Amino acid sequence: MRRFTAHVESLSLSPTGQTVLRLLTSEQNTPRPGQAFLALLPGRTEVARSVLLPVECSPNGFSCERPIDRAWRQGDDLDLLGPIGTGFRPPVNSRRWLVLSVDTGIAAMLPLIQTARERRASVSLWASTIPRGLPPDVELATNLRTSLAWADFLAVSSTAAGLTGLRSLLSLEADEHIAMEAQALVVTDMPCGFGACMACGVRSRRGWKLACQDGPVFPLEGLTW
Amino acid sequence: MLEDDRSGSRWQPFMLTNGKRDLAIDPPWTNAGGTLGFSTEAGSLIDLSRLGAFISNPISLHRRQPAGGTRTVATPGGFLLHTGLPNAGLRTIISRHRHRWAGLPCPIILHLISREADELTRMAEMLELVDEVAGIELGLEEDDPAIVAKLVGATAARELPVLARLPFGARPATAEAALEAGAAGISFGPPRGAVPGPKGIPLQGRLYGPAVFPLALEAMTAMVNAGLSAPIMGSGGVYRRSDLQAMLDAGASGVQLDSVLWTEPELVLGG
Repeated sequence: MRRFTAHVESLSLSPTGQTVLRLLTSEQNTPRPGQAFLALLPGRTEVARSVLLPVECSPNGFSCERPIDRAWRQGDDLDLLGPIGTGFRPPVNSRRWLVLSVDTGIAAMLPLIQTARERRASVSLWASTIPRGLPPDVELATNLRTSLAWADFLAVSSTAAGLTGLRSLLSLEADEHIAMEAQALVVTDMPCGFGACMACGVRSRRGWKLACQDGPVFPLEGLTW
Repeated sequence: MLEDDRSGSRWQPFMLTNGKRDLAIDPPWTNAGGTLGFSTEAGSLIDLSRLGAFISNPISLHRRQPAGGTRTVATPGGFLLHTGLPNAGLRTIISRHRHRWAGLPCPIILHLISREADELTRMAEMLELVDEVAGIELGLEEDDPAIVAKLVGATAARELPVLARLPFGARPATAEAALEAGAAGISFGPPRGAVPGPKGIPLQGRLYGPAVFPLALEAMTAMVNAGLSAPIMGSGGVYRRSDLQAMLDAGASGVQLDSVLWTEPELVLGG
């Protein structure tokens, strides 16, 4: 993780009405889907860093939704920490991806959907709210049990609290496992970003993990859900 | 009074002493317990050589799990944090972090928590065998002179100097009891508050952010005006160098920095 500056090149409105920032950075690496950044506008005594999850990634920066309590504008230079985590790691040979947003919206999953298209993988999407403007080849899942049987990779976006409802959402029995690679982006505040404040703890099968240190994308089977 | 070349601030180091060991806090500001982890978590993000001491996250004798549910909530001018003070327990933490403490560029103070005097005595005894640790900060939750005297006494009877971290807004009588029981100095925990929570049950936790500063300055000043005969460290809502200086000008011997270390530490530490 590094600390660096990101320039707000432009603002736009997403299909869901969210303000989207286009950030330019000097970083050489394109963010991976599911990687997070922590941002603030220097010199404004912002009380905490905001979590940014890219909705579109490119070699010289990324786009993300502007946090609702921030008034960052075009031309601002933001102070960023990141990238946090390694992001989603879909199996190379997977071709049928089920993308599931439990309670977080799907914006942070859009880069993953883009990756699927680049890999010529089919995407079935399930979310509580379906935004306009989705790529036409993204199929909307209507029966998660059926989609689960179809898929060979499952990507979940959820808050930590939302994970507790995932098993029910997928109509899985208490001891039933998912027979494929499954990864979860756990969306949570990360006040410090370096594993000190302990605010981003996520319950795992081997005790507690920190989203800022061990995530925010986790192997789903390693989590308690 | 010394002068800080980098910032022009006015300050001087101070000493925590218990008659057995002395611990110089130079410069007279540290992180607050709970802000920088147990050793090197902040990595290259914060220059620890700019702190007079490193204070660890809260450590209990036995492992503590994190709190469940919501842990952070934004408030006007700050935020509420509720973590449950998770940690792996003193023995494990010593094992994991001791070699890292040896490499830190400032003295190490471990922040211990317990409501049991016997546990604190055991922990203080364990730390006497850890040369890398220079002092103890004792996290106290009660504004009760008798309870504080008992817990401080259980810890301060051992070798290391003890900084008694009292609850925010504690009475001078409680501070006096801590000092009479052997504390070498006084610090303050963050104020606590509550915000509306799920199902109508308020979510309680520690408050951070610039909105806390006026309250913290007043609480610290009240303690200074009580004429205590030991160093007092102010803390709470310090987000600018001028906040830190205001604490020192009001009579604090030192200042503890909290959530500014997660945002723009250079605004206070320079660099």
